[in-house]
Amino acid sequence: MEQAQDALHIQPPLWPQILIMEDEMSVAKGLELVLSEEGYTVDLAMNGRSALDSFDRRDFDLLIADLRLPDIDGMEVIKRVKHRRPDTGVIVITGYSTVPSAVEAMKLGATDYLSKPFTDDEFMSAVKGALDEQKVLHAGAAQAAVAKPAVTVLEPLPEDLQQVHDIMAQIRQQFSGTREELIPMLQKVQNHLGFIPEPALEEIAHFTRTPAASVYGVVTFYEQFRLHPVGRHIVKVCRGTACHVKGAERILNEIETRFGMSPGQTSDDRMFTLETVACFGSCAIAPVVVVDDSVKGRMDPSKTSEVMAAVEPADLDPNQS
Amino acid sequence: MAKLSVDDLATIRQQRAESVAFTDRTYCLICGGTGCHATGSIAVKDALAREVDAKGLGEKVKIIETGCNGFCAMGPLLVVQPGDFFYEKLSVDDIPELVEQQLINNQPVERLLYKDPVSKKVIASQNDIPFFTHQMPRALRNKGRIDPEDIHDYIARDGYLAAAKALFELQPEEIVEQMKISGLRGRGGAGFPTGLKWEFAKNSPGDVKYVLCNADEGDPGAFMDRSILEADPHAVLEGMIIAARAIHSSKGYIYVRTEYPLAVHRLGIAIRQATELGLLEDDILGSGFNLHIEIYQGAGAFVCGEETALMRSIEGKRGMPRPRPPFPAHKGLWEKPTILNNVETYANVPQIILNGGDWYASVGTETSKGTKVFALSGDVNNIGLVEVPMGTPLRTIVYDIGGGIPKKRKLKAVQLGGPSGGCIPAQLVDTPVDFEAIVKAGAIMGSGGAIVMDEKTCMVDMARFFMDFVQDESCGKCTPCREGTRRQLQILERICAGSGEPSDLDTLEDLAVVIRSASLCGLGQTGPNPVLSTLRYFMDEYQAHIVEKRCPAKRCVALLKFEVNTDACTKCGACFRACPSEAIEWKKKEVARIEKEKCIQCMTCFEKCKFDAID
Repeated sequence: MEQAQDALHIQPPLWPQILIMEDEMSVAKGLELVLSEEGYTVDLAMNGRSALDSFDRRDFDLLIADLRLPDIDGMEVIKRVKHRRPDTGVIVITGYSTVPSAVEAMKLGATDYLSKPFTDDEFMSAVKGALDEQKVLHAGAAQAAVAKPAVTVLEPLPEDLQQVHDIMAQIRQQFSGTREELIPMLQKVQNHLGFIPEPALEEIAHFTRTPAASVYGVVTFYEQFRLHPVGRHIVKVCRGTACHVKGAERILNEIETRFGMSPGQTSDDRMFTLETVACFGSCAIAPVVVVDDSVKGRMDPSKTSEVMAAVEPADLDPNQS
Repeated sequence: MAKLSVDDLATIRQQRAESVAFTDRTYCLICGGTGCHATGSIAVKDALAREVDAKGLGEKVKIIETGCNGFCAMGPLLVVQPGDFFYEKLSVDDIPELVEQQLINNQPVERLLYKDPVSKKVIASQNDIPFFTHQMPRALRNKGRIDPEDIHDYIARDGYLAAAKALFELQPEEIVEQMKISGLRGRGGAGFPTGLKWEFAKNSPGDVKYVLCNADEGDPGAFMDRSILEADPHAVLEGMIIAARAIHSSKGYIYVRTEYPLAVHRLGIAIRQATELGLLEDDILGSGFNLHIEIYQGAGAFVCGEETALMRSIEGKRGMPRPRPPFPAHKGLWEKPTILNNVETYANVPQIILNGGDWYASVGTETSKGTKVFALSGDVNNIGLVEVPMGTPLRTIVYDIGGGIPKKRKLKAVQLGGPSGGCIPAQLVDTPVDFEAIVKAGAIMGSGGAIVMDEKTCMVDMARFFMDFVQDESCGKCTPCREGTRRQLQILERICAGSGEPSDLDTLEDLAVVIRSASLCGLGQTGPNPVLSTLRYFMDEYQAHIVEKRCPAKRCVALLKFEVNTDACTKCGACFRACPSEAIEWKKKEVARIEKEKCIQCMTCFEKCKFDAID
């Protein structure tokens, strides 16, 4: 689930995108072959102009740049690309290497400078080095963009665990301990605490005479159950077809940038937990967001933020709390 | 409360009919479906009750909160009887005027009445609104007409009469015979003949048998079953009593999604009221027949809509499907003969038993009889629940009932059957709704979700969306489904991101064939359908993504330039005002410009631009 969610938000996609700018066809094709064998997605540009056009169309993670080109000077292309997208990686390849040009390239932000001829191994290690450096850059940028760091997994509070005893006492009264009551029992625990603490899971296993591993198997199979505490308010974003067509993903993005939570995560002040639901069946008023038990229809990113801000107005204002 | 006899049912009906005929009461039917609750119908109802009291109209006006009226997009809704005046999008502030004019002076409040979105004309009576006039309510016959939390309302509309007939007048084989004559096929998606299913279970040896109701409506875009449970829960209970009588069962379960709290609440009330009146549990209506029904809440696994997985889930296990045979009619829940029918199927049963199988089969096509409920949503003017005779062309549903596509855009496709279904393209919009005809067009009838898509919908993105759903919900038991759907999703993501290659299309198709033929249950067998149907009809869009690196519908962010098309820009400034990150430069009478450094690619400007001037 989470992996799929993450994948949705990664743009550009999972595979590094590389542009080779090289006017000599045989060299360009050779490099393309080496890179695609390693699983990279590669585009070719035969001159500076078409390289810049490619960058207009989309982003690349890495530019392999020859310096002598039929139209624009390679150095100029690097300068423009770096100006537009500073985090693009650059590797210079040239048959006319000089110290001043190497210095200039490094000053413009190139990661590596290779003089032709070079071996496949030299080339690949330069590419990998450049992409690794980029990953670090990206991670830094992503962290900076997040307003509040989210806590992925909350630990149970002592008071949660104290309540387990009372709830289990109720459960032993209400149920007879048969296997088919397992899911209703788990639902009852979760309705009270918002999650299923380990001691409760073990007690239910004991009560139903089922191995704890089987109970754990059931808990992890069903989307509804959580093994960790949640925030005070649960925000559920519907990802049904009608909601998707009407922009549910933009709402998720908004929550992610503004509150720093991905689906399944809780904000660090324990205020919100964000979840997605396959469909609420309220398609007529799509897109739908459910805050606690209240269904909100015809939402958009800014309305969602307003609704979330209004849940506990005092909490958002430190002067009042 | 005293247990009822068959005669008591008649007395209740009689008393109700007289009270309607001999008093000049006005009935205010306010919709209490989930959709209307979300748009504020509870506050409107409370305001109406207060105002009615304040004006001393308590005796003359009766306010009833009904279940889902079906015309969900227009909520909060109010129908005033007599006259069937149809008020839409009400707010608390409208109530004083409404009470003064409509309830005291008998003058409809024109500004609050329904306005046709196309002709802009006011249509006062619900019976004249095109959304309703083209429909034939059978499963939905009580929607918006009764209080679902009052069993007497249901009894007054012939409720539990069919159960009485099944218990006292018909033998189990006669019930099965009528069901077979009716031609009713399962409304959950697969379309298996209901009468046949019951016959298998009836003939299976065993003292303990189960009747199950599948209310695990998981297809995204489907809300028929939720609406039926919210609007008319007793119809489902009555259908289950008849089924139980037919197969000699005395125990039933209704498996409801946990995402439907209002439906669970109303079902709970319905079961309690029916039990109090002797219409459930022991000795129903004094016939000596017993049926105990329990609600079982699902825990959020789509695959539990599959029958064998659902039964595992009730047993308290991981809800994974198992191979068939043995079929549940022989070995189902706890290895006992079991029938599982969908909510809409059960809701049709009482009418079939009451009016006869021939009556039901009098509408429909050769192989698909009766009516079908669709949840119409997406890019269409009138959104809501639609029940039409089988054989009705999709065009009628989209244009006559749905009122066509908003914003003067063109129809691109109608998605039927959710993640197991497919997209029927605009050129096939005359396809009749019939199990076989829809399959021929590349989709499936499914449970009834019908999502209308206009030209601004990217079909590659839709395929990606459904594949994301299928791979997420795959239970993991069959490797081709678990791994294959994930590979398909990766490929589709790659295509949407502009890195697709021509060979991807062949790989998608190859994977689809393997997943379809090597999966145990319906999830895997039908999961690749959205990919196959879009490949079949929208190859040009796939090609545009892969070859030209262009998304024609402008939905795939990675393929957009985020630039203003200076020829198309009308200099209106709508994008400038909407941009949340102040990335758009614009002055009056000047073409807008997007500053790429500030642009966060949120797509708001694409939404706001009415002239398609952003690329």
